[in-house]
Amino acid sequence: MQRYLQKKMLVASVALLSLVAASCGRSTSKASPTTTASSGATTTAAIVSTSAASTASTTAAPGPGDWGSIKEVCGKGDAKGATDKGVTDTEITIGSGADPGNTIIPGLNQGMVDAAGAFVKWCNDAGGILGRKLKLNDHDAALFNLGKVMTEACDTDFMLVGDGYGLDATGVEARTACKLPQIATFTVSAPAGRAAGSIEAITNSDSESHLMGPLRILAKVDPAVMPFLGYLNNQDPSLNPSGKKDQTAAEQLGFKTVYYDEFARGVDNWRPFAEGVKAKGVQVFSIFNSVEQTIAIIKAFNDVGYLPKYIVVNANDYDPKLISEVGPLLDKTTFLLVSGFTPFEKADANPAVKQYLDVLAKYAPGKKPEALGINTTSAFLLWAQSAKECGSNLTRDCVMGKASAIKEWTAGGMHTPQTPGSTAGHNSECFLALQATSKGFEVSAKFTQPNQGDLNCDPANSAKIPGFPKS
Amino acid sequence: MQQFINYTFSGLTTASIYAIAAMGLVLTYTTTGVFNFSHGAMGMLAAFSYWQLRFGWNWPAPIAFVVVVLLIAPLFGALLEAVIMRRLDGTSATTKLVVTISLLLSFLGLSAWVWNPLKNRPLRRFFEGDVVHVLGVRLPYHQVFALLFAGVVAIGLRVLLYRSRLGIAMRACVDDRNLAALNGVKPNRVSMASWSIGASLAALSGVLVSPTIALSGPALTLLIINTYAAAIIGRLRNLPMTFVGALILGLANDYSRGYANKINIDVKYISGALASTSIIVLFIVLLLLPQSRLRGLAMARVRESSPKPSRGGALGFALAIVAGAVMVSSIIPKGNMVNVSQTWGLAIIALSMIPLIGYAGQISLCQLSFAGIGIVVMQHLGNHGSPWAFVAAIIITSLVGVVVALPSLRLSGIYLALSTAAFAVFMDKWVFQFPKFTLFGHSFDISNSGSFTIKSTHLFGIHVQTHRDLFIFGSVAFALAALAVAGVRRSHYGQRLIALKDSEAACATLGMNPKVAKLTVFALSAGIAGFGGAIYGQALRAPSLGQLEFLQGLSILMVMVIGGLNSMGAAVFTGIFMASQIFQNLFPGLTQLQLVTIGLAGIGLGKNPNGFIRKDIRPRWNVMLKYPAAIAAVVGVQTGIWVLKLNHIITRWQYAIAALAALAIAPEVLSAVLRARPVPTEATTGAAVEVPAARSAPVSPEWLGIDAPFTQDAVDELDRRLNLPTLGLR
Repeated sequence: MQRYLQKKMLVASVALLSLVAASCGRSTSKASPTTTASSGATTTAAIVSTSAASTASTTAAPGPGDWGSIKEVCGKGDAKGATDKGVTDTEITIGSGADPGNTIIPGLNQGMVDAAGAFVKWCNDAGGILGRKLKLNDHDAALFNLGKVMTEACDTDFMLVGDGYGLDATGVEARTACKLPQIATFTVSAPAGRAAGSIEAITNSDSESHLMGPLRILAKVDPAVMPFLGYLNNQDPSLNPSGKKDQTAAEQLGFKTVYYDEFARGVDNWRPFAEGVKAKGVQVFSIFNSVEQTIAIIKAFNDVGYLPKYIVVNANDYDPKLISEVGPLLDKTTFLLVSGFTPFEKADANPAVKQYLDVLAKYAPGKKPEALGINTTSAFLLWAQSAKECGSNLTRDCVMGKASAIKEWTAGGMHTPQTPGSTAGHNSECFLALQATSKGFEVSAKFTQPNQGDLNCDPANSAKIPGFPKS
Repeated sequence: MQQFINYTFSGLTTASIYAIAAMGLVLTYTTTGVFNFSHGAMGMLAAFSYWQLRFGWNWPAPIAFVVVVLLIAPLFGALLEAVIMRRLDGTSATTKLVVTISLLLSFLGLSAWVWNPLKNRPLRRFFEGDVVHVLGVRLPYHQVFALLFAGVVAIGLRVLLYRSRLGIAMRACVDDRNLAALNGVKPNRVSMASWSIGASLAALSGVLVSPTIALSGPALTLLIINTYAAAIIGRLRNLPMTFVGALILGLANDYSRGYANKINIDVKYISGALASTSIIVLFIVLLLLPQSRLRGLAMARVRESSPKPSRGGALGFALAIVAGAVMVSSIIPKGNMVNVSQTWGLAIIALSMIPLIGYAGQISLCQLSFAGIGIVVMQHLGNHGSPWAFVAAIIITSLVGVVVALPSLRLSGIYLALSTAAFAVFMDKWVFQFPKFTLFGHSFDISNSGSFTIKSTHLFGIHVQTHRDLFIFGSVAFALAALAVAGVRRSHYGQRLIALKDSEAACATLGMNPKVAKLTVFALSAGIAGFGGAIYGQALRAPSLGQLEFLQGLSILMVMVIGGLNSMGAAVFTGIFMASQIFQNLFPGLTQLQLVTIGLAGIGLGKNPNGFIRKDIRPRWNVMLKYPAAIAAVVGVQTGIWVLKLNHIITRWQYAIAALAALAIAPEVLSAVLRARPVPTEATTGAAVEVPAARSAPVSPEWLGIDAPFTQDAVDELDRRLNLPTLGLR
């Protein structure tokens, strides 16, 4: 789902084109949450983290180039040779980027840029990649300049790492023409997600593969609510099929839809939707959304005096906004979301997530952690580990080959196990359920029913939803 | 039954906010003749200000509310009136509209600048948590308050208009501004009062609505589009009817949402229509309203003009465009070319406004929607690289243009603008968003599920492939379109269009059929826009629906009007400005400033309604154009600089500076040369001596404007001789 949000914001933003600002409500969603973990990725991390972390702590203190359970991903060495574009005996030039310079949502996905900068500084302090220092080119596409920055990146960069752009379809042509590979933080459009030379560390599959998440657990915990599913989908044609996929997946689990409706951009009154949900006696409600829309519908539920027993949403809602806007109302229902990593509030339980926060605090002081920062850091770790394995044979093909061959990627225990690859791949079957209350986000053991460390990695979590993607 | 009551109350809560906003809109329109597109943006600014006082600085809610709605907003409204609106007298409806559009954009830029959109600003409602039960419906106090406010505002305005001196003066101004002035009313003071009240009502609606949706600039700004329909139901002058209109809208919105599932159609096909209920209502009302009422403001004497291009001038312009494009394309770095190649598509879309809005005076806010149709056609027919797809794009969009024009035939001015806006929003919200469907065994997917891929064209064996190719190809396309528009202006048909703008009634009296002229000019303009869309889409490669949205179209219109709606140079300017993001590239740290500045430029229109190209650039070059040798020199110098760059003797930046500087000083050089030479006789140079001649006292007034364009001095002189008051053109 991450992609959906991204898409949304992008659409919104585009509307403004260069000069003007904006179109409608959706524009503001900040996209980042989306990317985060949404769909399925999370898992292994937890498991790994418990085991790896505990071993680490009992055996030896972590070294300067370790990240979570990954040992010496950065460190000294004697790799040599100008083996490919951007590579010298002493330096590797890589690029990263997002859209913070745009005028519509200034600062969009700044968290990715911060995470990238902090990681590179941390890695260089630890010795670089086998002794070669990293030089980071920051490509700010500002939404509308992606074709330009990709063309420039072609002239300088060895690879793109941990990048992601709202209008990524517009950069595919330039990037593939110069065969510049990328390990992206996220992709939005299908052409970008499936383009040659593009993989993601945390994949967000657009194939039939679907992560069932907490709904599957809910079906066991409280089967009485199953005949009362309410689904509010997004009308936008680029988002709508994904919402449909969600709803179809729920029905495949045995839920029965009693309410289905779609909303368009710029809803100015959510109350009639809430009235509809109330009239149908919906007990499990889901919305295909940005966090602003979730907040608005929850307020409307409160207005009509009916909060469904369960609200189950995707990772887009992992956002402090939710708590600050409607926190007290969340206690009147059970608000669940699927996550791919331990929430920042509970980072002490996960050394790798903790390390992300620490590195950010040290190398990018004052910058705020964002869910997308986890994805970006994961992309950098995947790249760094693959580059290290290539040693003196550091070519684009070698790095992409190593990175694509990795299974069960958890970025040192930071998130659920993933299979890096293009969006044509399939989603992880591990997840972590978070519950949001007035106090914030908590891992919910009840709705995770962990069977592998903190995670639920039951193979049945991953389902095929026939007929998707629709396009 | 209970369900019906539920939806009724739900509808009433929206209706109350619509009513407050719409009454403010109507009040300012009737008393000042300006339809304020930025009404929603003003409400948005007020909502942000309220947040700042109430939650940013922790003021008590009642004080923050009073300060925003009753103090800041009215002062702001009065300031707007004094600084901007007052200068709009005597400008066309288009200019007035564009000034408020500029304000809208400036306000958006300003809000994003002051209040970082990434920061979360929870906005609690009044009496959060308190509810009252009415007929079994749970109503939060906040919504009860909104209903009460709507009632109070309606009654208050009624009392104001009928029981107070100010109100009577306002109504007098509505009826006849000049007559009211003769009777001792001060129209400026009345305007200022109505802008204050309007701003206050905008603020009230903004503060009331923002806690229920999100505190977001764009969302709040566009919300107001829904209230246009209410204002139209009130015929833009009748407040009680506006109130009723708001009720109808609010209820229609919620009933349709509540009962749509009783219809046996998959919700995905109608959700777009449901989302545009108010737009549909607006369209229906425009069609049903009695015609006689729809007269708009009489366009007495407009300060705008559309000069006729000469045949040679048009050809020269077209050649210069292509030659300039070839030169520039060899200089621009490959990366920048990606964005720059969008120039000509945007320029053609801007060009399509010239015959329709510039010549014929038919305000259309949906040119970008026509371009969108061009893109859809290219998506479906152009992906084998066939150039015939362009022809199809032109024909199909022309036909759509006729369809749009048919119901709008009897509309003009602001009503036409609103009906085309309704069309644009309808396309945005429903047609372009329409899901894949099957009809008669064929599968249709209008927007390819929201992601277009436009392939480039094979033409006469040439494959237009890179962005550089597209840029040059686009310049040729623009040159052809510009020649077509120049041809229209030079033809009898073009004269009819201009007559149409001057007076529809007079046209009809003289035996011309204004309806035919309107229909054809809509078709022509839509066809050009569709062609522009096709070119634009090719340069974008993967256009997104967001790039076709209503506001985007407004921004093209705005830049075009700033350049001058009758000037092809303005279309080029629009293309360059929109595509190259000059501002953003030169001042990356000041991106928000771009919106504010461009808005300010638009606001300056009141002073200069023909656009800056006609005012600042054309006059200096007119002299130049009389001297073939001077033109040759300019071409020579430009070519020389270009050759220097090609041979890497100068850098890109040096080239850019040298080329622009050479263009800028050329007229000065020429006039210096002319001054140095002995004054030639009138017979040999005609125009060259016209400038000094006009400044000294003219020999005889009959010759003014005959062999040279009118100057301000000449107009003043004529007014003096005819003993007329000066028009106050400056």
